[in-house]
Amino acid sequence: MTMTSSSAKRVAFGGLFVVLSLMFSYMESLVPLNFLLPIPGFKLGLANVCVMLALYYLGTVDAFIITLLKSLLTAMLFGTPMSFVFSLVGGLFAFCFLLFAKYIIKEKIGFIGISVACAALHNFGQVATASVIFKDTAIFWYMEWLLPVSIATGIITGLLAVAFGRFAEKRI
Amino acid sequence: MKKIKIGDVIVILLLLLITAGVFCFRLFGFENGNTVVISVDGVSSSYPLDIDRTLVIENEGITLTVVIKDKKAYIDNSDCPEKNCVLSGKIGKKGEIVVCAPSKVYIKIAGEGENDYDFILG
Repeated sequence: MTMTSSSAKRVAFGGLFVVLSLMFSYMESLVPLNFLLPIPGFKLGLANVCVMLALYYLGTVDAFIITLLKSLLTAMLFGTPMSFVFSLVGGLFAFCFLLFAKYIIKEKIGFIGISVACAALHNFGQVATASVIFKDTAIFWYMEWLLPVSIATGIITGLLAVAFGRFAEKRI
Repeated sequence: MKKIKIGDVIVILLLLLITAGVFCFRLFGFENGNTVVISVDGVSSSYPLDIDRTLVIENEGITLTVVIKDKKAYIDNSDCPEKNCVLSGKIGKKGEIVVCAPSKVYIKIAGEGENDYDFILG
């Protein structure tokens, strides 16, 4: 995974990733997964694919900007101020792991493991936010279901990232 | 590039381990509660679990019905768009919760004298 140094490419693909993340978010909002798990905010988390790819093919700062923009724009277009807060906190928690993976774990972890960890941390961030908003720590019990489910959603998004990565390897 | 790396396996095993831990803790750690706390926008009131009753709550433009019956509590129906609260089913053990995020309402099972309520009824 080599990062591009061309700033034109970073702008072009950065923009592309932001739009892609909005499309993913919109698609997820059309197909609610509540019949599987009736927890508010439960989703596949496809937008994380964009952040991961940006991190490894564009740059760390680019990935961070995409993380902020996807939360902001998704909330502005089809969300609420509350959904923005949840999305942002979850995204930032996940981004912390991305930094950890890129700079400390480096080659020993692949997109699948990173995806699973990001999913778990994103959910944890949202549950933590909810516990602050509702002023009750009982909400952390949702993690009992969210953690194993993160493994499943993380594997799915991880595989997607691997597939996109093969494309990115040649073009970016 | 190898398809699966050691880090991937470690992450997944770690999550499974934590889940198992939480599951066991919940199974062996809690008894049935005797009150249900209903919190609306941060204001909580408590009701005993052994008296059947139905409450209609309205907040943030969403109306929902909380039912206490047969020592369990649940949200029977709600105006909220996703209805996670209705799908979550019945709760009866201490610490169990059902949350309706859009209306800022949640219900929680508690033991006696454990929380600071704003009101105690019944």
